[in-house]
Amino acid sequence: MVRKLRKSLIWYVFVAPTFILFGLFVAYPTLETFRLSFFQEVATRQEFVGALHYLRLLGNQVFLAALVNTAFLGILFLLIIIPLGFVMASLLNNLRVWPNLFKAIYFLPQITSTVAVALVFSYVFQPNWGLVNGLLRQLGVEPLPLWLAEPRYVLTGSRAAVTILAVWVALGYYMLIFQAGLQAVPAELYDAAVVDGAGPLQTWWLITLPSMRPTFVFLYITGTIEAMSRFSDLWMLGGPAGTPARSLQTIVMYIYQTAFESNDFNLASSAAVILFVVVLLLTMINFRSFLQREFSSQSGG
Amino acid sequence: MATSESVSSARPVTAIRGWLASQRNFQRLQQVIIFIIMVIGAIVMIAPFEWMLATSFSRSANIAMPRIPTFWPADPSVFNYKVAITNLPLVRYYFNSLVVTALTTLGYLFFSSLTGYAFAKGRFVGKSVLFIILLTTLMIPFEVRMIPMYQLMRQLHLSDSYAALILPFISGGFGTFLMRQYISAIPDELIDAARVDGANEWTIYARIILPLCGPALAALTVLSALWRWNDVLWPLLVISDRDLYTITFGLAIAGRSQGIFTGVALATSAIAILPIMILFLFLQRYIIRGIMLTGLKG
Amino acid sequence: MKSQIRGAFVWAVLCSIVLASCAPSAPATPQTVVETQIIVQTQQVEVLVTAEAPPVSGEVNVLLIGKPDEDSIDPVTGKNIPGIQQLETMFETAYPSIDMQITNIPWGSGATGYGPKTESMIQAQEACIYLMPGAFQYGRRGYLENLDPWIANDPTFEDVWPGDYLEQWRGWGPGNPDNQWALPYSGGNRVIHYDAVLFEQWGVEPLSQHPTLDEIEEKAKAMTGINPVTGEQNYGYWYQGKYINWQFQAIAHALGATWGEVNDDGTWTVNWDTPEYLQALEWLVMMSQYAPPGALAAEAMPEGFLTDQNVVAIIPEGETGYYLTPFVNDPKLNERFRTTYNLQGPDGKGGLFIADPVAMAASCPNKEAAWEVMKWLTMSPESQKYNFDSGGNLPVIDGAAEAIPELAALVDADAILNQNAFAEIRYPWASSQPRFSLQAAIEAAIAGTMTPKQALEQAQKETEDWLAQQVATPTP
Repeated sequence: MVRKLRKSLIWYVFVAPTFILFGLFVAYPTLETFRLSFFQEVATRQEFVGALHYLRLLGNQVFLAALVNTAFLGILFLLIIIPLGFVMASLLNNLRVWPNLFKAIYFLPQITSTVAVALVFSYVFQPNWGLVNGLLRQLGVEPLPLWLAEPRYVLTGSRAAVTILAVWVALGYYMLIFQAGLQAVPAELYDAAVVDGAGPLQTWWLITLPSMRPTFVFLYITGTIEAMSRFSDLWMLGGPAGTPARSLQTIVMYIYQTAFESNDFNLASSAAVILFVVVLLLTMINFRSFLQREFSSQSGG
Repeated sequence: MATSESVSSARPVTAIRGWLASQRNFQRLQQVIIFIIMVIGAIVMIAPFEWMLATSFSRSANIAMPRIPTFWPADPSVFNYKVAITNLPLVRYYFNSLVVTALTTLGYLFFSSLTGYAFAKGRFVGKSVLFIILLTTLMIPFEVRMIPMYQLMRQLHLSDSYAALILPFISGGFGTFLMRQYISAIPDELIDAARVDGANEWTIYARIILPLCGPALAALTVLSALWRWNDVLWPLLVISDRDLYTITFGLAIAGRSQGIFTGVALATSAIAILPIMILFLFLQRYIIRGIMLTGLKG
Repeated sequence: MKSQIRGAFVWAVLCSIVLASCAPSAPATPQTVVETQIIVQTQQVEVLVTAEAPPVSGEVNVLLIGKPDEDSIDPVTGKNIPGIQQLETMFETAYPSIDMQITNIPWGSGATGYGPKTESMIQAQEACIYLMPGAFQYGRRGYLENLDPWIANDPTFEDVWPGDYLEQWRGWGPGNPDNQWALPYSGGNRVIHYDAVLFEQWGVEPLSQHPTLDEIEEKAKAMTGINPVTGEQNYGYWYQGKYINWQFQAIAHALGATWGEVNDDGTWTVNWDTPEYLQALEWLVMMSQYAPPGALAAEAMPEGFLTDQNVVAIIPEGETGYYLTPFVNDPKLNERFRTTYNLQGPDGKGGLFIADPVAMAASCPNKEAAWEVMKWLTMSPESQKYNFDSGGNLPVIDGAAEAIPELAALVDADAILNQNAFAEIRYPWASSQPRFSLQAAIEAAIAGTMTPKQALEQAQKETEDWLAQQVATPTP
């Protein structure tokens, strides 16, 4: 027994640093977030208040708006990027001239920091002289859209602007992942389709699309989780309040503002717990397919 | 298009159909169409960057912008760059980014592969329990933990230090998981042979396992480097000392306060963006391969 | 293939290490912090602080906020802006025996803004003298030195600030209900600009020195449309979307609104949904139609401001940070861009007032020397002129105009120099939840996603929810 433990010792040494760091930076902060969410700071002491902060959040229009907004922006983004990314990847996959050059160009915004891209786009969408409105003016569009100055749910409002920004940034990445999926479709399937006399569009629709299911699922899951924690670009464009009129405020921005601008750490912690639950649910629902994908990528790499 | 039967009988159309009936012609047309679509897309991708450059070289951009966007500055000048470099310690910011990214990534690779090796090949009590714990950490987003992490940094007096930017990220559930998967595929015989030769686990890890993990390590390097280089939320919580700003964070803070000086703000952006872009063009094969291996972006 | 990738990885790591070690050692040169919401103005003192053989010596640590760390360049004029070390040099020329060490931090925001930094510095007793917008709170908590005895025992001290500036910084503290917590160091104000050329082209009478809401409304309406001379689209009015709250406060105060009050226990009562605020918001929403589209996303002055391309006739909330340096550099500009006082309420006050004072930490080990530093910072012409040179801050002390002749020469020197004397008393909620709630409400009302009434009710509800969680400041 002692010998066995001694033999195992080295493995514990290998595992220990990672788990000490996890304890410090993952486990402790997560539990502390839960604890804070049930307490209230009263004169530098923390007093237990039960679910008070959760009740406050449920009746809090700002929080609910941020929650809805996060979901709305996420869904809008995925509805555009997934079909667009797939179509563009399919086209690029068939292109014989400079496919790698295009791949690199489409990927440029992705390696540029979100902060830099958002900063540039705050000027791109400037209503009077920005790149977009300047071009629209040349095309004779009147009146010019307000973009980031228009908080309403309209096609040329602030939400549309940030969705265009997000699609522009992410397109290269989505194309890349779709292309990896496309190249993994077994060639026999295509051969069979050709034998059956299917045209290219039919093949694409009937063979390629269904074979790509794991890729779609993977991008959908990672895309949803990422959308739930959106912060940097919207913070650059609208500050922690997501101006104008909080039209760009997400849950993470709400947590940030509540904790670090209004100094209400307890309320912010309960919002963080809600974010955690939402992300957890989204992850759990599709965790199996997620893991499958990871296992297969390992053998494919 | 070529397979459609419902084309009208007008003469030119028939001619086109005839031309398309040739497989080679059809493919040529297809290539041209795809190429045009791709070029349009590429222009959309590059135009904002080009416009940023053009504006950053315009002396008058701080005062008034032209109604019609120009892709070449009407009054070329490096004035905005001079202002950006003089008013912000951008070299220092870059240096900080390099230090933070390099150290975090080295730590991330080391701890991920070491623990990954233990989980892949080790035999010890509690292995599966620990592995499940590891998997659960994957599901806790940073944003959920950030408030206590911020408080912890203050209590440890680590705010405003490189340590605050590095320590929390030198190990990660995803990296460990990926390394475990990768190392599991390495045949046991290699390891057993080394054990017979009297090598200890540390030697096996350093001499046999690590050299075989090239692609996985490269992928994690890309991932960790992009994460750290581009992060802004964590520095926003722990860094107030201007001497410790990373280039991304410095750009965020400067951009939000220089907003009224378009030319300077865009010159600062260009300085933050272009070197990374050039580096990407050199390393793109590895970066793209790394992202395809993990499926994750930075 | 594998070895290639590994090669690339090793190469990348090596590169970063080599690059890292080659980087020059920290030439810190930060930006001029352009704080749009808080533009500080300074009063100029014509007092000669005697510099002959100072009796005290030692090291004094000073916390300042938002100064340029090193010499930098003005993005519009290209002129040099002196860095903070020039202030140190000036001081040490005057007081060679005292070693003034300045820590200069950015205003920042949130968790890494000046607030938490000040808190940690004062708790760690890192400095003696603090630039401290929140001096009252620190005084209440017992961290500050009461300056009354120092003032009483120093024959060279003089109250050189106009009106009740000095009295503004008296407050309650543990064991003594009435303390002088700080000395005024720099102040801020906001004025109303108008474009005299546009007024003339439209044949509209210039704005009066103290414009009223009716006058602004009538003239803004008259000048929105196609300019009869240039044929360009003109706009009568302007608002800074991202900081609209300050402009709104000025409008509301002109209609008799007051935000509320500080209660005896240090908590606040805030009233946003009053009839006066509603009237103000309805007025602002109505006026927004005379402003250029997209102003809701604006962080500053309209495009073309201070150039020949300007198309906005009345530009409220002009901040010194934007206009002062250009006016001084090019006197022709302030013939076209004229300046009036801000709106005034029934009490004769109106406009944002931000005065940043300096205070002395109770824990300071070297108070004699610190007191000399404090007097020099607040009262010496050199220090006040440095504020003007480094941040376009405006001295407003009695006789300030004579001290900086460029200012006295300005066309509207009267309004520019004296607006501060008319400004509203500082808002204690200036950087907390009540402001954020109201800001979002005004944005929503202007964008039309809420009616003004709904918006104010929402702001009130959020503010009260927040206030309910605030507890009286603990008194040690």
